[in-house]
Amino acid sequence: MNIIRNLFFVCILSLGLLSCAKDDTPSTIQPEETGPLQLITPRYFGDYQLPADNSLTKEGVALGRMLFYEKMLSTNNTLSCASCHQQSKAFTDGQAFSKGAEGLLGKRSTMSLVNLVWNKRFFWDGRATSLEEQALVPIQDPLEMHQTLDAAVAKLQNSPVYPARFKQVFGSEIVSAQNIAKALAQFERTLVSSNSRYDQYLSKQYQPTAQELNGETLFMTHPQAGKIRGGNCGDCHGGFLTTLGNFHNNGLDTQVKDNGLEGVTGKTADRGKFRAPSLRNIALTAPYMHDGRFQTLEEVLDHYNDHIQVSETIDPLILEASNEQVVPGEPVKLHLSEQEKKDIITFLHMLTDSTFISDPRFSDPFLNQK
Amino acid sequence: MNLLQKLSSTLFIGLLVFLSSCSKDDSSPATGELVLTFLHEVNGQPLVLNEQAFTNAAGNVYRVEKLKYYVSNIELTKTDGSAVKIEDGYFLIEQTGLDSRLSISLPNIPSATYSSLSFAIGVDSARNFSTEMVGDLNPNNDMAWNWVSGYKFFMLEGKFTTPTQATGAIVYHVGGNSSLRRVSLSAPAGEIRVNGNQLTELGIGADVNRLFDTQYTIDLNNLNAVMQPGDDANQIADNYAAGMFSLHHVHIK
Ligand code: HEC
Ligand code: HEC
Repeated sequence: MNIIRNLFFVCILSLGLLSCAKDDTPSTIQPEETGPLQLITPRYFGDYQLPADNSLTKEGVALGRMLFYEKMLSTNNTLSCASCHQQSKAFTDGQAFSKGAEGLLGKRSTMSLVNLVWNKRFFWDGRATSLEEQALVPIQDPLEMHQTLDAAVAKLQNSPVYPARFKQVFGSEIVSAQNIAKALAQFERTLVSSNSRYDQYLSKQYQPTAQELNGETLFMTHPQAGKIRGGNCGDCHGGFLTTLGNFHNNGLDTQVKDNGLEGVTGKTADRGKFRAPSLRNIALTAPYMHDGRFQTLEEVLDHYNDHIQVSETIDPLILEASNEQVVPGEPVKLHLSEQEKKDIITFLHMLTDSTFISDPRFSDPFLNQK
Repeated sequence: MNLLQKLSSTLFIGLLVFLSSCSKDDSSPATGELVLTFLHEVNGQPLVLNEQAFTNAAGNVYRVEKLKYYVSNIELTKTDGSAVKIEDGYFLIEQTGLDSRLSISLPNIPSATYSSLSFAIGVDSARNFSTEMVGDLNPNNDMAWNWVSGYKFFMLEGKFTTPTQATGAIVYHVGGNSSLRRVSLSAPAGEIRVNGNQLTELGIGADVNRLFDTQYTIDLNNLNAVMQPGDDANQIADNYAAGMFSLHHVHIK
């Protein structure tokens, strides 16, 4: 009985969609080309692995891009992935907490989407281990798009454009949640940012200012009191990707409100640990931290320099880092000078990639159609 | 003269390997699989991260949060004295809260009886300053200092309790050419047999307490952080080379 009623409901719903889809659904977007797609990435980012059952194709990425900007994925057709992940803000939304389709506030700040092929775990707490797994979470999350996968599939199945697209990419007109996830993941894997001034410097096309160079050195160096000055950021945000992908308690609170990694592993030793995210395009992605507590990079630097909160799970790399002699039990301070903090911020600005946020390949494919 | 000698001995080893593989009868394949499994422990007890506190020779009470090191340039010596080298083998061994990688699988080891095994902890200078990604070498992982300083060979992070009951950090990041060390281990019963029809597993103990008490006795109150190549890094490298690793068992499966 229930099933029949549900079916009936879906039919009505899809009829409604079909009829109104006629005038404003983009039926003209065609991928110009089809076939395998090769990501272009700098060698210094290192190797990455794509899942064996979801290699990149031009038509797959094009479908993923449509889905990323598709509001039908939300319960009331008001929200797409791109509502929270806006290209102009390096795929964040400028909010500490974002409103979902039904106006409810989320529990964590939107993450920027960048250089995802090198990520091993996703979300602030690392609870997803692939982009395919991740993509189905926001669709169903009551605080985000709040739609069952069945409903999302039914809407796309009944649209005039998607069945043909799914056939082109996956060989079948039948839309499935699994294939929605695969296409979204393909598009997200193309979000490579590698044309910042830092990259231009690495490829010897840009000569940094003295301040930028000093900022880079401080950023990458672990300090040794009296010997080597450093900001120790690279201990966690290291390498050319500006993340080592590890989880740490970076001293935000003594009593945490959000358990972070502990919620995933169940271990108290993981309390308050979050993934050290990539800092690429960081100047565009305020507010900062999993709860968006800092408005500016100056506030972030002040946190690391002066306001570390020590708790059981504080990272040893922070507990130990200072430009002055460390005395266990005394407050943890980096002791950077005002100028040194400014230099590090100058380096952080070097990580802004203006071509990434204006690249037409990542923009809303429906824009020209509407 | 020296060079000639070296050359001829290399040729000789090559010949030996060649001969021994030829002389095998057809039923037994010429190569077999050898698996090295590292068993992290403290005074014989399994190393439990975070939760369990341990005490070292200096009386420091400490906890470990992360243990990682590169094993490379593995060499096996046969009972006849000839050697088999594993080329381009750079393996990251790690025990962290989320990741555990404790085994190295070497699939194509010439079938023979070996008496000992040796390996480097770290990365030889040729590879250390190259961005070439061979094996587990990757300049974007947390074992790289940055592209000019090369790799960290050995990493231990954790916390210890000071005499005033405060919490101090342990951050040992050991690297730099001068801290590259080799470890040699002899087979307990005199032999490690590798044979194409079976899998040979070597259990290699790695005792964290030996970091603090073999060549030098280290008190964490005096040396709790090593972040650069140099004398401190070399002391720790001397300690782990001198007695951290031991051959526990040889299992044939
Ligand atoms: C309501 C706002 C919102 C919407 C809509 C949304 N996201 Fe997110 N996204 C977030 C937040 C918040 C996080 C971090 C959540 C957490 O860590 O628990 C996040 C995290 C992610 C991450 C993890 C990035 C990383 O580096 O680990 C990916 C990937 C992602 N979202 C993709 C998507 C996709 C694909 C969609 C559409 C299907 C989507 N998001 C829709 C807010 C949103
Ligand atoms: C011990 C590891 C560690 C060190 C050292 C460290 N960070 Fe972080 N960083 C993190 C973690 C973990 C987060 C995420 C924390 C959270 O949201 O709760 C983070 C977050 C950030 C963010 C916010 C990112 C965002 O997308 O909101 C910025 C900016 C940042 N760090 C900059 C720095 C700078 C600059 C330094 C050096 C002065 C530094 N970090 C040192 C681990 C570290």
